[in-house]
Amino acid sequence: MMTPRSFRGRGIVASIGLAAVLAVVSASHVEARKVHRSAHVNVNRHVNVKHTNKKNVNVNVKRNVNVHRDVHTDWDRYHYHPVERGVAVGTAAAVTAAAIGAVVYSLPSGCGYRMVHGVRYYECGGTWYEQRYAGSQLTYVVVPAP
Amino acid sequence: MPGHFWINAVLATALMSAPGCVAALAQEVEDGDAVATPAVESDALFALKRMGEYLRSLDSFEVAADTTRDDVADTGETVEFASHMEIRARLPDRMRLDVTSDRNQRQYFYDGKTVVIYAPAVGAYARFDGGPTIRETLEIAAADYALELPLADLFTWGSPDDESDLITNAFSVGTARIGGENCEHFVFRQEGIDWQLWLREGDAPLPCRLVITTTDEPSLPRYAATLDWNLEVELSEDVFTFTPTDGSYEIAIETTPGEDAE
Repeated sequence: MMTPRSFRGRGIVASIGLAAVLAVVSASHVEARKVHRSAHVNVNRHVNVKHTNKKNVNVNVKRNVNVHRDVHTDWDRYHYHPVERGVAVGTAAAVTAAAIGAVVYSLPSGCGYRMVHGVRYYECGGTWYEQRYAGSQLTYVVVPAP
Repeated sequence: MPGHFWINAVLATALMSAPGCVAALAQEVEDGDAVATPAVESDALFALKRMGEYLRSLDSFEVAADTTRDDVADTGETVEFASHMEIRARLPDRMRLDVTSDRNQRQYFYDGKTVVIYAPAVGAYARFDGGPTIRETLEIAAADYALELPLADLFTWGSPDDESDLITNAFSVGTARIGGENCEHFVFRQEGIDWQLWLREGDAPLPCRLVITTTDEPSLPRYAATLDWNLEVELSEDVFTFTPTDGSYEIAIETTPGEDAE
């Protein structure tokens, strides 16, 4: 039943147009390494096939859920409330004049939060954030003062 | 595919009739630019189909999986993350997923209508509308919310969305022992991924292990999952229902950019 097989390698040229995709823009001040791409986690990728002809850029974002986040930032602060402690990697610590719509993965220290119309907003040194899920990842989006 | 059969037939004929020709043919394959002749073994495809049919015949199941997933840093290194996940499903429209990674914890609830994603250690949860079935809900999650859940394949194999027809190469590698079970090991190739599947031998051909290698990325990142099945499970409604606690609060989940946007 088994036949000898050649496992010769094949030169693979990756042509991934991810660099231009900035669906989630991390605060650029941090030196943290960025995730370029994640391994596929499913074999049946009809989601991708269905959208391929419509918009290639989005396809890559959808298929590679974790693209353009910092390595190591998808981290629940188990022992600290997020507003009480900043974390080492990928924090917004150096954000001085964060642009509205910028996304960070954790907050600097010294933030408080306020409920406005049922939504929890975090305020850190005059910059306001709304916490959101981006895929399975918790992020903080800079918003106008509520 | 008929082409593959034709090539196989030629090889088989050559094997029986003229050993010298076989050597010549093999040499040509080695030297030529062409990759070794791909072939889809019908046994491997049959095993895959049989597994899909078996999965679709289950009423409910619980499966735990230990997984690793590589990310690729922008400087090219692979970075591995490990998780333990537990899926509890009542077909066709109830699912609960608990994922504990080496860094965080997430719970997903699907009660036939709504999906809730919850981070217990943080307290934040978000909701969105699911579809009428687990499979359609997983598709909505991936397409509209950038939420591609690992092992979604378990709900796709054997369904109309099964993409086994995209397989360009498939073969069996023999039997392996995984988690106390004898499992037959198969290799499949599709555009952009090579994947391996180990299927339990016998009347319940459940996946023992799945490895997916992304081949259009130079560092070949992998996803691997070893599965532990329990089919003797009674799942009550509260398994699939999210109940907010005192410390929990609702937030939004980002939607992916619209299809019509250019």
